[in-house]
Amino acid sequence: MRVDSHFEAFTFAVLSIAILLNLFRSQNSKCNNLKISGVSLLFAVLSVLFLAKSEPADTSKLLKVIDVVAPIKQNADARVQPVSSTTLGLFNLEEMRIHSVMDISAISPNFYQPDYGSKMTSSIYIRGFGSRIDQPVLGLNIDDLPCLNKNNYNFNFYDIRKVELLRGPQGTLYGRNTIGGVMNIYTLSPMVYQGVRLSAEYGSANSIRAKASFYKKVSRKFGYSAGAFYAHTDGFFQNEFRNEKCDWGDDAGVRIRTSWHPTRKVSVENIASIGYTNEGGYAYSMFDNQTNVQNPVSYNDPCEYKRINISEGIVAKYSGDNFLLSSVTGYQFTNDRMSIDNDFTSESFFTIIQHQKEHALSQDFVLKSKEGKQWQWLAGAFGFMKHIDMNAPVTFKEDGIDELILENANGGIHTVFQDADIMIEENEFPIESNFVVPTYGAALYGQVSRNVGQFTLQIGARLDYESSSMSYNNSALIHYRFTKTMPNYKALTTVFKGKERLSFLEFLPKASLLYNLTNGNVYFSAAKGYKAGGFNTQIFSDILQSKMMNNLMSDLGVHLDGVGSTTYNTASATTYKPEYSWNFELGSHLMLIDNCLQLDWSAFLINCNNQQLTVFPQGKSTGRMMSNAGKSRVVGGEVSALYKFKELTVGVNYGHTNARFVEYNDGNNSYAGNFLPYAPQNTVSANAAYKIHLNKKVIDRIVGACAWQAIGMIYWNEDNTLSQPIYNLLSASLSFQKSVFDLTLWGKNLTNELYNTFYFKSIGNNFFSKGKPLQAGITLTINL
Amino acid sequence: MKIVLLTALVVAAFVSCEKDEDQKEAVVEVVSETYVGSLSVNQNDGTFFTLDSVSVEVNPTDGDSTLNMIMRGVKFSSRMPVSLDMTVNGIAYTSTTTNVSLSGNNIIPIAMGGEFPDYTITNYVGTITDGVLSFSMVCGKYPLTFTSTK
Repeated sequence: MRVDSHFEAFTFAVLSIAILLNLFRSQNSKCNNLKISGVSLLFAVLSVLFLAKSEPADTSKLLKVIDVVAPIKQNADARVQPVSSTTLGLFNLEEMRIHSVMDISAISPNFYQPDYGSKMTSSIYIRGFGSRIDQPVLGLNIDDLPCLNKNNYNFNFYDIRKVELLRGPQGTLYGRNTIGGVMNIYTLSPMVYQGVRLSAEYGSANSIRAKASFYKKVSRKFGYSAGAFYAHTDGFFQNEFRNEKCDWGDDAGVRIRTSWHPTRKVSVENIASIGYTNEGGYAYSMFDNQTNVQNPVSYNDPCEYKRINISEGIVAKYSGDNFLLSSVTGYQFTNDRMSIDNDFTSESFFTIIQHQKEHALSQDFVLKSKEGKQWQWLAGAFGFMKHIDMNAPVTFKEDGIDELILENANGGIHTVFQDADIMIEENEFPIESNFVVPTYGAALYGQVSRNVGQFTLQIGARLDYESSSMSYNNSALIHYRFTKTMPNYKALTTVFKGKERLSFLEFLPKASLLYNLTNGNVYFSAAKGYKAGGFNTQIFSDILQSKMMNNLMSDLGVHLDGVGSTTYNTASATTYKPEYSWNFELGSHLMLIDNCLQLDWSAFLINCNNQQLTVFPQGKSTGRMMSNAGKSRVVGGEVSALYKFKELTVGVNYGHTNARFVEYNDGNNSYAGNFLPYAPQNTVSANAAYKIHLNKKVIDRIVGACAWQAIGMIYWNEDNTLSQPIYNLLSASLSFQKSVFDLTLWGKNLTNELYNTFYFKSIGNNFFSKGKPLQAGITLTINL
Repeated sequence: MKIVLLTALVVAAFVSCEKDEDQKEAVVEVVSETYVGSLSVNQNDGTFFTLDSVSVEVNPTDGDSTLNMIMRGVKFSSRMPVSLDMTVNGIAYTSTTTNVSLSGNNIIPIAMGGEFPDYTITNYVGTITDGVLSFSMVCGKYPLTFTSTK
């Protein structure tokens, strides 16, 4: 099929997209200019791409080729390895409408990324463990380039060639923050796919998603590609106080890739991408635990998250006769700004703006033997450095000054002087918080495998060093007076500055024994996982608030019992230690029923020490921090089955965890025996798709698909008093395919299930974030 | 001979003067000092509120024979949830060879950033003897006494 022969169809498609966009253009008031500019840019790209008149791809022939990626550290087929894994190829991802890491929740057993907050949130839970802030439990590599900032984990997928999620600790090969697993994402390369790919989508909440990309293989030695996407939503949740949707959002991105294969043995790939996000989010509503009533979202200060991230990666490979030498060089820049109403009430307590700039450099060298040998080995050296410059002022507003500062102080004063008050002149004042956090690390690692008969024994180890420091400079200036004695306001400055350092030297071993069957394998593995320690920058506003109270009282010569004291009153007390785990796993990968049924299962035991938990200080605190719990233990299992027979595809995935504290005492209570919060105990996904071939004059085929996901139960707190029961999400799609066109009608959460995705406390109040309601839409895809 | 006699007289005169100055330095010198002791407050209801380990700083002022007294973290009643730093300025003192006598009347104390006329100090009488500070006064309507430990 040539482009020329489809000129009319292409024109029709572009016009259709334009009409769709114009349908909501008049209705959408927010960010209209950006949206129109983005769409204009997109279609300008489309025009250029079209004029290039590339040869279109016969995608059906490329299906298997595209999905086969040769990772630099793993085997091409994860199912021949002693590891639990989920692999999704380009067409799986597009058919299942997977647009982000979040959409893989439950599709990969015991993997869960809840949808709440903003794209900065990116909380991920695997096998009962997870992390709300700071260090993630999952390592993310995009085209073999490690993503060193969790804030970037939530991004829009487009033209993703393959997603491979390896569950269980992967620290030996991938290092820090892979205690729960590693997700390897590979983008589409012009060397395996050539053509133009277009799609446009319109759905509930005036949501649109448009994408255009172009892949050109100039010669056997050189290819290039360019792609862009744009997405918008008006949002699903109304902020009653502000009378506007709070979770609106705009996203855009560009990716340019060049592939140069000067010889058959040498390849150099350059992947550059830019991402832009500007969104609301934070649809948090207050929960009254006396009446069990969840109130609507209602807060007075706007919430917003903006991010620009740039990634540049160079992947060079040399293929020798018996080895493969790879080099992955990466630079990542992130500039993001979160602005939130931190009390999430209609009162003016306090807001926080967190603005950070991060530069990150990484280099990985990997020398690996070729597959299929009796001895297989891998050796690598990794280094990284990143520099974060962050300022995060917390602004205390009128109600916050009255209730969080003066109420406490005057409460004691009034018992002696009923008619006198401490007053603060400012209606609002900022607690300035500035941090500089440089981190660097280096590691040496290796792995050896030996085939003996049907057995494969594999051992590996990594020596990983990481060093980090935090320079902090926090200050606040207020003017105060005591009405009984001070006719005028007096300036009071509180300063808290200093530097903290952390360093870790870790040994991360693993071992496994795999027995090859005629139709698969059975394996046992043991591996150590490691999550780096760090600094609690989010508790500094609490510390400074406490110090300011002490200063004020000291300046007044008043000593109130307990006022101004806090559990965390020094910077050194706010650091947290690394988390360690040992994962013992028995599993199997099988092909059954004439290779129609692909069955994977595993059972695992994880013992975790120093588990990192997000905790809230007692009382009306404004911050949160990572703390190390004592010990925890997880027992669980995973089953994945994929059945393909003729035009029917059925997939079922189930994961279960029993994750409990073994030792954890926060100073007030012991939580031994309680379930770990936030991670679901069960994840279920089942999906089925059936293709019907029709008369080719009108429609080539119809593809009907449906999917069911069930997630829960999730406990929200350490004492297990609040929980989310198992919730069910039903989705379905119907695709009409003709030649290069695919028109899909789809729906998500078809039963409009009510459920919560997140819980937290702020200044003593309880909040939940609801899951998105029923959604429906239409998608047009064109692959030329 | 006259010169020798004159010199002897001059030396005798100086010696005489040195003896007078030695006698002046023998009085107790008032220096900045912190005294820790027990405070007892008459509650005017037949009971007394006693607070131990109260710190009292004494600082002489330059140029006159007065001193300032800062009482750190004091409470005057068991019902007071807060403790205060209270400053009493302008306490007159006279030194003898054995002790320092303190006195004052109608002094408005300083606390919580300013003056507290409700707790005007009257009938302040005290001594510093052998490193022990003791005084009594009426703070507002509450008589109180303080005696430091040595």
